[in-house]
Amino acid sequence: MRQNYLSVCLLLLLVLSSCIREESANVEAAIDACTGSNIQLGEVKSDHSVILYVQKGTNLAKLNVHFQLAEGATIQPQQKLAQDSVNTYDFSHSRVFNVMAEDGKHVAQYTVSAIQTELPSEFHFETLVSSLSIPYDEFYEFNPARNEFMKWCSGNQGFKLTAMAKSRTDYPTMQDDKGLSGKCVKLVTRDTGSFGKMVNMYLAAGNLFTGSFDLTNALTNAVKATKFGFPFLRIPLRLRGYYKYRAGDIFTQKGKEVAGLRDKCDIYAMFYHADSNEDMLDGTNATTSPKIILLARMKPQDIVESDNWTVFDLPFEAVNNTTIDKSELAAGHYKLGIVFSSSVDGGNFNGAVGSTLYIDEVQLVCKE
Amino acid sequence: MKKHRYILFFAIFAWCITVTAQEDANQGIRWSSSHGLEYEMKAGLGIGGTSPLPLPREIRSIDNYSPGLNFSIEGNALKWFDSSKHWGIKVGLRLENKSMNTRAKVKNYGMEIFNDNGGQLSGLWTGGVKTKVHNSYVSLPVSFAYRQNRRWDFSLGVYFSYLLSGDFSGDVYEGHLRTPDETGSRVDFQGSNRATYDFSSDLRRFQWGWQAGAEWKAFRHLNVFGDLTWGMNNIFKGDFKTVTFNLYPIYLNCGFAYTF
Repeated sequence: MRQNYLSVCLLLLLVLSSCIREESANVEAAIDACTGSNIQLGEVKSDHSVILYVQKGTNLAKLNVHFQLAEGATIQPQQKLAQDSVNTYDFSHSRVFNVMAEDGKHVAQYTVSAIQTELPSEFHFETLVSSLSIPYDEFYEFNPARNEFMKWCSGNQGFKLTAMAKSRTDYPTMQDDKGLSGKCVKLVTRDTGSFGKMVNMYLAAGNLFTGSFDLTNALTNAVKATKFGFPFLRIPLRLRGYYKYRAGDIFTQKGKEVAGLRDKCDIYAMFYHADSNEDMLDGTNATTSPKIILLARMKPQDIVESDNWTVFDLPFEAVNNTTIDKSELAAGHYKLGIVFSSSVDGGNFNGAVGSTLYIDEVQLVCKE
Repeated sequence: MKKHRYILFFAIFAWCITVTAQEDANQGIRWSSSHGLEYEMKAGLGIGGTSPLPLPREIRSIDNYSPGLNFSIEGNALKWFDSSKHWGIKVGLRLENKSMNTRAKVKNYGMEIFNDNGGQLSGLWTGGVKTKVHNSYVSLPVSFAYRQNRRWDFSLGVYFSYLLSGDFSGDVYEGHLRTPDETGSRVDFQGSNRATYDFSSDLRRFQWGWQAGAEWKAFRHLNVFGDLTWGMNNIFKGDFKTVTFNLYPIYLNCGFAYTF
């Protein structure tokens, strides 16, 4: 009897399914997101305006923009300008773009403008980018009164590939409620599981830095995937803030346990001369590049393991004997990178799973 | 609760008929029979769906379908036109459920979901849709009857239904809503993220449709029957624009009938 009932249901399902008609073209015409190599954040507003936050010093006449559109939709600037090329547009002034749906009937008009902001000098780790499509925390600092804006970067999107995270708190980099003031950032060195072992990436240190993460390099050359620095128009003097650190119990080197070694965290900032807007230091040369002029770094022997907040106050010290050119400084040719990591040698996959670093209320003291 | 009251009312009504019939069994039925009248009580189970016809392009696949438990009870009277009892007219009163559950994949499907704070968000949905339809009607079927032989009866006619209680609701999952229209912003729902919708209050009160039936006399008083009912007007009110296509209830009802 039950079998008969099931077969009747199946038959009906089959009859209905056979009536599925040919798919029609998508009617959606919209910009869903904006990204680009020099764009801190692309804010798509519901009134069909888009604001691209870029650092001061970024060349607006040739801004690389990638518009994420509704499926099948296409985008065209209403007026093509001389500087425009593929995915690169002249944003010296705001522009009007037309998005056409796949069906060719629905059109939406967007006004896109770029706003140049400066790097903030205070970091509170209170605000996260709200997006359902990102399963992990992304921090940004916004101080509209001083036109300061910055989005922090992390290796979370690389960790996502390991499929180890079931929730946002399983990622190496996340927000935590127990900050010194309000919320803070929590960095945890994570096991990368079987997928990580397969590609010889045994662990993932929690990290947070100013710069960008190059996902295409994440699996082949992870140290090169973390790119540090944004244009900075002032001379930094000190990097101050608060941290809490506990190293994980078992230290491993290339996946093998090493007795007697204890993990260390890393806090540093570098100020360097960039050859071009695209020129960035990465994990291979972040503290060793000859382009670095000033370097502030926590000494390993100064790291305190504690459950209480501890102050760090790191002076920027001159390296490589180079001088700072004032006109180049004003033109945005120098970049500043700030890096926090729960395992100092995490880039080479050495460290202890479980090492945890909390950071809050960071301040960048600059020469006025 | 309201539905239960109707069922109770109907059960008492049916019981009255039965008792009355039994009391005056011989006399009453003999009188009726001589005047070309017959009475019948039917109880059945229905299977079917509330579906757009043809399926609109918005529906990309149907992943699951399960009919609800669709009980129906009906009392009817049949009046033969001719003395040979071949042609007649049948009028009845029926209480019935028309329910089903489906899961489908849709694209650019008109939708109005509840958001977290209880407000509504309307737009076009692309992704998965779970739909629950659970409607109860009291119906008045009127049909021509044809008796082919002493075993087989056929009928063809119309029915008029009044919605006693209606539920058309469900949730959306694994997809995105484009709100408020095709050029609006995108709201994603992934994984365990779901949003509910409820169009119950937009259901039309009055329905009508065609129905065709067949009855087979198994024993002297007991028949086996099958009735196909085919709705002819949209189950939603005319001013309801969110679902852009019409939905029609099409159900097959099978069961047993007792003739007096």
